[in-house]
Amino acid sequence: MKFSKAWLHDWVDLGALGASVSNDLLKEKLTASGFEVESCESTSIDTIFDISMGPNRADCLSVKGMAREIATIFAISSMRNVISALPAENEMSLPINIHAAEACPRYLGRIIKNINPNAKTPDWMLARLQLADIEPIHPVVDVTNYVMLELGQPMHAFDLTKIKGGITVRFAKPGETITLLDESQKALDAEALIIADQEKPLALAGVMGGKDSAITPLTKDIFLESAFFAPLFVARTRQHYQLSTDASFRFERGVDFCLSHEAMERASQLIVEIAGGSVGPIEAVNLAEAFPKRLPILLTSKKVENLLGISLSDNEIQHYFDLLHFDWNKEESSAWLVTPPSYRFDITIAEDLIEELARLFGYDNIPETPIFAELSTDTPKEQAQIDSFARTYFRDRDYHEVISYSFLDQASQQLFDPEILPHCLMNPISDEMGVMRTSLIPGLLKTMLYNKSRQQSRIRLFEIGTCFLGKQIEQENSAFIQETRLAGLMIGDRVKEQWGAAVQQVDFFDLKSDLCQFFTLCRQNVLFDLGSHPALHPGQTADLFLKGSEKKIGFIGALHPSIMAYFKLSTQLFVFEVNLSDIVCCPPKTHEVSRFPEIRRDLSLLILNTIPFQQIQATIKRVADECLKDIFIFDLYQGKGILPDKKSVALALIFQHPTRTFVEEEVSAQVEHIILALKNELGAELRS
Amino acid sequence: MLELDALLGEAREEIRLADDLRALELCRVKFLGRKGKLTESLKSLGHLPVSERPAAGQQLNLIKEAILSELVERESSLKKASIKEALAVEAIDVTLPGRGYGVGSLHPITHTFDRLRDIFSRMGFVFMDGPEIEDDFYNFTALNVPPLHPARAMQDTFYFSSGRLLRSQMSPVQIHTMQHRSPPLRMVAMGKVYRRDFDLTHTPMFHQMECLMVDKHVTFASMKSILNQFLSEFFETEIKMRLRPSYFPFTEPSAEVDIGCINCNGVGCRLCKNTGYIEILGCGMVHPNVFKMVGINSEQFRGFAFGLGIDRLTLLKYRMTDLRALFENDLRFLDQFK
Repeated sequence: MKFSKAWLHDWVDLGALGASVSNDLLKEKLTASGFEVESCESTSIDTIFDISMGPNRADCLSVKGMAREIATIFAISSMRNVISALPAENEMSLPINIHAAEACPRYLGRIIKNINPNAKTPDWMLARLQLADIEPIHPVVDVTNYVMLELGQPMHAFDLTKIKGGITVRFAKPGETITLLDESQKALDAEALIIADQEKPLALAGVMGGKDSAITPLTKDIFLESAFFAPLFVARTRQHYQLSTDASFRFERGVDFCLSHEAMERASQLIVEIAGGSVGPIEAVNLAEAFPKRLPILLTSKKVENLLGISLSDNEIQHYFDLLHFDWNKEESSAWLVTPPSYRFDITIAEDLIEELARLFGYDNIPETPIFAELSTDTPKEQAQIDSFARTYFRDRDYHEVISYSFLDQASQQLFDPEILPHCLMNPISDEMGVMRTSLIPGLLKTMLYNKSRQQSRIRLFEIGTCFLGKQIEQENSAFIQETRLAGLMIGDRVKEQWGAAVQQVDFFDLKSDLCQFFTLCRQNVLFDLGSHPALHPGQTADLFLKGSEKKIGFIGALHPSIMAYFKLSTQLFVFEVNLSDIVCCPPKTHEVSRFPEIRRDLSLLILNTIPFQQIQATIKRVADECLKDIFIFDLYQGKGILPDKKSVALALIFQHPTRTFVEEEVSAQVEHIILALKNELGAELRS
Repeated sequence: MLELDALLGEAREEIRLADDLRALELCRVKFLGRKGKLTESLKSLGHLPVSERPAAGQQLNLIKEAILSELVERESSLKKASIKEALAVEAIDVTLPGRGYGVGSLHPITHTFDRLRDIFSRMGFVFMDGPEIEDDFYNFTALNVPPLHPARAMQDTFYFSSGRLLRSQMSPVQIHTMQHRSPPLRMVAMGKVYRRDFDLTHTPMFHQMECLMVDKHVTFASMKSILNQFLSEFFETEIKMRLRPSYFPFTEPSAEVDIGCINCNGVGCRLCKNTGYIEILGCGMVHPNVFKMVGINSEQFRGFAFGLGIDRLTLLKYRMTDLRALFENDLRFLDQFK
């Protein structure tokens, strides 16, 4: 909020602060007290401070409130007063009834008759309204706005002739409607607090007036309102009807319920000064039992010390209470019952009082005291470190880590995951960020395209982040599955162009190798089975399973040619995605190393090319005993010289006995068994 | 005897002149071979009177050994020379670049995460995690922000139609932790948070760290001590802190912490908008209502909490100004963070 120094000076003597340093000093002290001065602009006649404050300090959303705060901070004991009460000049009044005591325990009304319709708001007042960007409307409305800025009391002025009967503060009845000052029409419900006459709603209490009863250039007789509306009821109206006004902003945060009378006097004084008229008596309804409670709070200096880590003397504490206008009674030594003033909605517990003491003592004057605490370690399990390990691993394998937004446009999400409906945000920034990601890969593809259009052709990326899945029926207890996943993408040359190495494009097995070795380092046995994914090449996709488990933990594959075409990609692109929480790190399994020699036997097989390597491997392992230490493929050939439906596979079998040297015949017998099984079960034949 | 001296001189000269192993072998044959000159001399010993033979024999042996040693020495030096020659041919240009794969990079946010994890692990804090889609209770109500509370307007939150929301702060993790573990507690949560804000200095998704300590003897003064240690260690320089009273619904007292600008040492520069200070974090003593929500006795235990933006911290650390660079994922930018 912007404050004029001259206006503040009307309420507190700033001359006492010493004119030469006062702007800087004011700025420094206010900032150190929790009122950050965001700017300070001086002209020849005034200085404007832009001061920000938290929602707890609504008592300072006015010139008088801020002047009072300055008096506290600078220990100035007396405030100035500019208000003089006007005696009633006529006997006119409207009956006022409150049917919603909790929402409106206090309502003051006053009639002013015969104002001059041609009166003009004086320039000095317009200038001060301008500070809050309030446009001039009509002298009477301008005065109510002025009083709101000056005292913090939002007021309303009605055209008296439009009010039928009297004033009732009540909740709306079903079916009632109102057209507001902003021309919008609202259908009211039973929770809407309104000001009504005997026929119809006149205003949304504490938020905005109605158009029908508004002041017009022809208005001569007015009815002024100065009331206390309880914060929650105004907040409800503001939120339900999406109406944020200067009045609702203040009422929601708490307006001093003892301010209504003073504000009424100030507004009457200014209206008569500017537009003349004759004032009636102030009609007031006070339902004191429903006023906000200001209960005494018990505070001990021990508690102050426990929370702040400093000890304040009784005198210091009492001095601060006095500066803050807190009412206190010393119960015993170093214990007080403290009652905050009516305008401090934020002070309800001892901690609130302690914050006030700390604020006046100065946060920067509180020392830095080292902590004494029990020494305890709580080292995370290896599992908890898996994301950190994965990051280092893929960085070392020549991948760049990226961070993408967790939301994206639905089209990109559907392009990759057409079978999964995403969770949609109700209030996204834009459609581009409208739905939660169901996979990390659309984000990686976006990053790939961004970089490709910036002359990068060899791109290797990875990301670790949350994906959001779950039931699509948006109900109170619909499941939101939130999985931490790891995904990678690879396109372009296998290695950066360099001397002594042929330029080769990456293929499926480059990515698979990086992924497999990651699993190896995590000590996971992961199986790759031919799989399918709507966005991946049907013949170049594998689903990943933990050995011995049915649960799919991820996939790897080449991007589907139709999506490649969509992105105008000319070289193949490979991606993988793994659910990180499915990977459980375990300690290495160890066995004793045999001291006896290994024996290697090579097999060259002709076999149907539809039989995957994994099946050949499994068949061999089933037949052989535990002395078969390793099987690896060292050549694979399809083409000239063999039938088109066959492939030639060259395998190495490594045998080793744990406790003795192998006898040649034992190995030969095992190899015979293996060949027989491959022949009978897989139709393999030995190549000569 | 003069004859023999001449023979030794001759052998020495020829060995010296032998410039490869083959020539050296010829030398050996010429002097020490079966028909060599020295062998011939040995044979002539028989012609000498018996009394002179031992002395002459000894003389001959000395000469033989001298020649042998000359031969061995020459052979070794010739071999060394030939190896040196062979190695010279095998020389390579060691300044050529190495081959194979390069290395990638870690996102700058990850670098900051790692650094923070180091600092707080040493102080005995545990790292906790929680869901990014939360419900109203964890994100607001449990943090002393009931429905219709004006503080809800301080953060513009993303909602789903079910009423759930994207967490707008890391504080929900504090609530989960306090529900499941009993004090004393020292915890840190780092992760993604979301607010409906998108401009030069805000992205709708960003990263936050929140720290919570609950113990019997925790005070505002001890919070200041932890903050100063952490900030000084993070920026690796002595940090000047300034605390301003502030408002957060979940702490009381609350403070905003500024640090003396790390770029200009408080003189005033573009980074600190010429104020000499940089806003860095919010903190405070845990509000008794929050303790009530999670069943911690606030007469027995007190706590402090603080939270800060990791993205901003990262920008400060690397003296960068453009927040958006963090989410553009331009490889030329990322490549700087090996």
